[in-house]
Amino acid sequence: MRYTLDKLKEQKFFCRGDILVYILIAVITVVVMCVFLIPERQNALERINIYYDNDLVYVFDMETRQGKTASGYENIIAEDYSGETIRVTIVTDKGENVVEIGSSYARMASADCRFADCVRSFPPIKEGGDIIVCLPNKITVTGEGVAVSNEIRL
Amino acid sequence: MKKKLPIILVLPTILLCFLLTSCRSDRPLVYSNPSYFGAALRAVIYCKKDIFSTFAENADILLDNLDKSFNEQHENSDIGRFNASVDGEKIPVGEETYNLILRVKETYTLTGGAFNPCVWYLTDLWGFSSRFSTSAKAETPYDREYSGEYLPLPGQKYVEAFKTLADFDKVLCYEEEGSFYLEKQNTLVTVEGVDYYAKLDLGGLIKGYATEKLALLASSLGIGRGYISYGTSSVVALENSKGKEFDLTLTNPRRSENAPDSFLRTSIKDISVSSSGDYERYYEIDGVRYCHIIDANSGAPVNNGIIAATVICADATFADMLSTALIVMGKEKALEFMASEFVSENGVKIVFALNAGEKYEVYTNMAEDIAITDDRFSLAA
Repeated sequence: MRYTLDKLKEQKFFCRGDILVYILIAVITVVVMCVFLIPERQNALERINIYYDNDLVYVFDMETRQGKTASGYENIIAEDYSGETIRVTIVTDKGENVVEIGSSYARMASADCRFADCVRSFPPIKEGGDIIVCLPNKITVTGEGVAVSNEIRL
Repeated sequence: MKKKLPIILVLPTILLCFLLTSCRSDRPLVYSNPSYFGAALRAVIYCKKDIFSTFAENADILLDNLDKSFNEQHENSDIGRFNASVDGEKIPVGEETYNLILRVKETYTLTGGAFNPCVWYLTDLWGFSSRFSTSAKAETPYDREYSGEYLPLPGQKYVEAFKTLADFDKVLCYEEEGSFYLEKQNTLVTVEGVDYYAKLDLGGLIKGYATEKLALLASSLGIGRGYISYGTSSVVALENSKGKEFDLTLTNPRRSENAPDSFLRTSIKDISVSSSGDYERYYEIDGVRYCHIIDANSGAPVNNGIIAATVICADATFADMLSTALIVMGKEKALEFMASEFVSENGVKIVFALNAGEKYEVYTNMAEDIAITDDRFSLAA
């Protein structure tokens, strides 16, 4: 026993091989921390989709801040980029809706339908899966992205 | 010993990896369906993709079946056939419809008639039935021509006549030799030579019932994290991604440019919540707000000061019915109900907001669990 303790005291704690192993462990630990502890890059809202009568008529990319009207629907969609928020107006045989798109949300700003439930009752779209429906005018607005919030809005 | 040092360090590292892997929350999967009951169903759930696919497929079927059974606009639905019937006709219905109507009858009795699904004609008379969302055409003898944006107020003779149709005791629900029936008795009223019979409107509970059914579906698939909501009416909350509570925010019944979207915040987990209010569907004539919630006793939209009510309890269908009933009750009866043995014994949590003139008062039996987020609202003394 005495011999073993003396031998240990004589030995260097860090040999070259050991240092490599320690570095490897440190690297693995940092990588694991990065992967599992630092949240993934999650865009709550990547795109806003606007449907008319179940047809996708307009897509707005939240990152590039540019919208694109589907072919054949140019005559019902009008975009206004002049203000702080972008306003997309949809005019169809059913009526007129205006969707306001901010930096991190979209909402129905106005609708000419009877009760305007889509303006009053639907909370703004803030993350993937959020949805606003205007039944009378057959307009549906959906958020595409990730549902990241812990909030339930009722 | 020296050679064992790396192993001593490697093992905890592997253990750390394992723990971190097991702690990591998956991204939620979102199911949306805007096709039924005039609102969008949304399920945000944490599960594997194959389980989510099964959930989504079954949810589509389930919602379609609910629509076929309970949507009165479908003439072949149970409720559609009942609404088209006259007094004394036995209308065969499914067992699910029978059981649901029995639950509605229990709530009707419990709330002293404040929750009454027999207000179909009154709802239609005041212009809040679904046909008014899509058409402005006069279709019935009691329809009025639109004056600008809104319907003129209805004639009193129709209000009085349709009040007599709103007697849920005259709707029988029974089982006979293994079959289930709905039947109306002595509901007939005649106005200007036209006969009217009682009709049911399940709009005050169907969203709660749908979330309840989808929560059961989720449970049967082993889904324990996420939530299922139907518009801004009903939600069944499971656990959040970390197995903890969700933050629940309630729509501000008096939203404006300068007021926040919500007026109250609380935390929920493994519970159902339902909200109703005069802010969802309404019109104003001469400064008076006429909302979609009808008081069968007065025959008119409620206007008693309660502008929003929220119920938190284990039963989503009951929560949906009770949130409407509280608004119909008015302040005194709602307070009485909130203090009742039923509420305390069943762990029912209630919040309602009252328009008290210059400010809005919040009444609740869960004051310690809520935070008011709009300065115009305050807890009642």
